[in-house]
Amino acid sequence: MSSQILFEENAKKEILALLDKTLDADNMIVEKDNPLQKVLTFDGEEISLNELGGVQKGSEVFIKNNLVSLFRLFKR
Amino acid sequence: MTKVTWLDKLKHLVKFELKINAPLVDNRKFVIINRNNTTNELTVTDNSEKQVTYLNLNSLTDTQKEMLKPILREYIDNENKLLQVETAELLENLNAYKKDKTDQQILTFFQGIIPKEDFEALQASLYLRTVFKQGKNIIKLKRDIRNAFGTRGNNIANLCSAGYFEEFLIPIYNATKDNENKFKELYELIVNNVVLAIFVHRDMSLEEISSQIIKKAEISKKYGLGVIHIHGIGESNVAKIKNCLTQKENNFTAFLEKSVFEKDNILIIELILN
Repeated sequence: MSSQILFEENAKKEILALLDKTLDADNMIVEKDNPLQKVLTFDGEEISLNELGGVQKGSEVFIKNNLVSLFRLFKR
Repeated sequence: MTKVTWLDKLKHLVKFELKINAPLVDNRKFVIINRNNTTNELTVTDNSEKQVTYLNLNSLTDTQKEMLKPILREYIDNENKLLQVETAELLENLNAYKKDKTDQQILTFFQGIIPKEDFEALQASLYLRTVFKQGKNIIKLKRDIRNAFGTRGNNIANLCSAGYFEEFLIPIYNATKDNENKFKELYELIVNNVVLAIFVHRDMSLEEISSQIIKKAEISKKYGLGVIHIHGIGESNVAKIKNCLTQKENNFTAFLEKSVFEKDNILIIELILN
């Protein structure tokens, strides 16, 4: 098994900053250089800091920490 | 020439920039980024038993954080998922569950028979049931299903956990094969109105339990189902059901108690029409 990078709940905001993302007034994840542009999950949903479960490739696709979303992720 | 990977760059950052004696990152399966406010001095801690290296962002300078940025970018670009610890664990458990194919037969049966969203809720509920049987906490998983599918999803999770999909819906489907609309009608009654069951929870009063039994008994009779079940998990819910059936006995003359299952603070009472 190759090495993996994971992050803890307490580092979510910093991880977003390292990926050049920030939060809008509603705590939704947006692009740092264009705060009007919300980031999306693989099934096209906007995502809040609370829901953040991870990021994967695909022009940077966000993953929700949610049982149903992860089941959907398997189907892709 | 050997390609310098994200892992090589991370090792370099740890060894030469953070001045931590390598090989902390070598041969470790996980590098966990956290933000530990209580240990400012310590940048990397090593747990060799778990094969984990912890990287504390709180003690990185802005320059060091800038050095970490392209490493994370490359990690993601190389088809790796950058996941929160809990998400990674859930994904790994789901992977193992799917490989195990425990519930594949039920899923194959209901695929195409029930609405797509209900099927997704059933899929998640079957996983939830597996986790529940393992004695693990299911609060967040159940909330995930409710958040995604609302009350209907919650009903499916309850019905699935109590075995209704195998014990009732499969036989009902087989008995109504020639009349697709009949199955759809009964399915809606069972899933949307939960006519076959009462799941007693902590906020329910004895009056509410009693009125639900009477109401569901009428619907059950009307559609020829002839049976309802009362479910309770936990000491107080079990006691509440018993109190209700004793104190409100006169309300339930239309039903005969058929069977009682009680074990480890789980109570299921089956009532059939008199």
